[in-house]
Amino acid sequence: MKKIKYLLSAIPAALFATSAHADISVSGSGTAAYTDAGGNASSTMGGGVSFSMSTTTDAGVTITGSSGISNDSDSVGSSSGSTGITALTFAFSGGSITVGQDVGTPDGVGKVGELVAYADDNQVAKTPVVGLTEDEGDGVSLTTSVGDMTITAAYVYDGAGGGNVDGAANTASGASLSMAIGAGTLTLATADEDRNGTNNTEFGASYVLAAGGGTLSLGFTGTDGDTPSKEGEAVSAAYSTTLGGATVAIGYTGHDANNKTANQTDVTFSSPLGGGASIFAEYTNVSGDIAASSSTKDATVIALGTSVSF
Amino acid sequence: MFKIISLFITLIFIYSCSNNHQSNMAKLDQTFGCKDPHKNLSRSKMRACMAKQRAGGKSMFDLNNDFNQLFRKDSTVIYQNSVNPYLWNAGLEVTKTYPLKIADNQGGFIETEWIRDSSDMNQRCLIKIQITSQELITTGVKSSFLCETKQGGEWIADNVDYIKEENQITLKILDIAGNLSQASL
Repeated sequence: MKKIKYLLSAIPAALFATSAHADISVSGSGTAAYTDAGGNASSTMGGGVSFSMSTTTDAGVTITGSSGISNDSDSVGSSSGSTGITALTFAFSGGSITVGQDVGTPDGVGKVGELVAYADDNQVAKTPVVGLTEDEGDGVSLTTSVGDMTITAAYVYDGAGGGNVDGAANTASGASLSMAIGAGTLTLATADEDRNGTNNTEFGASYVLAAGGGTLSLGFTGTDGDTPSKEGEAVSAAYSTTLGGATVAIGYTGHDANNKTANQTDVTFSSPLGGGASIFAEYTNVSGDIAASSSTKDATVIALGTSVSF
Repeated sequence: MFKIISLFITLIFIYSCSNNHQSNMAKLDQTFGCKDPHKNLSRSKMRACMAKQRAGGKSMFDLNNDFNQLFRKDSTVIYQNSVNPYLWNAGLEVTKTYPLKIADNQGGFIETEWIRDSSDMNQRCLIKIQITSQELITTGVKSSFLCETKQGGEWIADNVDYIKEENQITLKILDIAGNLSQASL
């Protein structure tokens, strides 16, 4: 037992600490836009700060939670004010699963020609609108890849954002698939909605390819279901290119539903100013079977604005 | 609902076979930008994404890196332990030549396996070390010996007080802990 009496060792041990990789991602944006709808001028101001915090488990799963402070009142789960963690994403090597309050179904895939983001706020409604209404809310989505195909499935269990998993009035679900075909990328998607017993199903397809120094997008949307004004087809096309650092895009979408037709033509222009700032201009016009103009809305709307990414 | 659940289960199954998801997503990002159909951004997130895309992917401030530097010096998070790390490390250092039966860093308890001397196979001892403080103080560590002798094929406690040896262990731990603390300044 003498050995016990002479416990002499003094090599410094490794620092005592358990470590884990963590990351905090912060981003923000702000946009101010001037909108003119047939002489009725208005302004739009919005933006927010988004926090994304992630960590990686011992098994290699990266878990990301996002929250934010926003000034945008037209999004479920992301309305004006402060939001807690509105989504958790579990990312694996082969894909990810997201559980959140702003999960969206893959609808609108075929409407590639609808380009404007602000100008349509004061635009009169089209009578036939092919596509779904319920596309965002409390839900879960999964994205993975099989070979060169990327597949996403989403289920919105409460479109009203009330957290009702099995009894919500508004639900939606869908799946999409993208893969390289020829010189471009083909995306196929299907989505269906149940809005308090009114059911509609959308099928969308798009093909995006490089052409003539720009990007050409072609799309098709078909809707089937209980709402006559949605039941029909829409064809869409867009072309975007860069001119001296600015990006110019033109898009067209034709809706044909319930024996009524409406056409929408969009033109967008944007140019970076450096330092995260940019200016943009949007033009949109609808024709055919559309609602009458009012004191606040018109068939033709332009928007001019600037946005800053922080 | 059933169809969706089935679809999810199917996807999860094939999910494990995929190994190029990241590259696929990168290609889609390049093709679609903010309008990547597999991102399904909400309207507010789409607008934020568009703001950055219009700006050529640049930001006015490097908020992301600034926050990372604000909250941490590097990408490591240190979790606080319930016992003093210098005393704990010193305890491990002192017992490193022996196999450990217990090394509970939260409880601050170290216990070695039975230690035998080849010159006398009828005796065995073990060392117990308890770190009792979060502070580096002289009363923050207790050491004890437990020894047994073999009598008639049975191991019997020898009932000897090893006060001197226990003090040696404790002092050695305090000495090493002090050095570690100084080295970290």
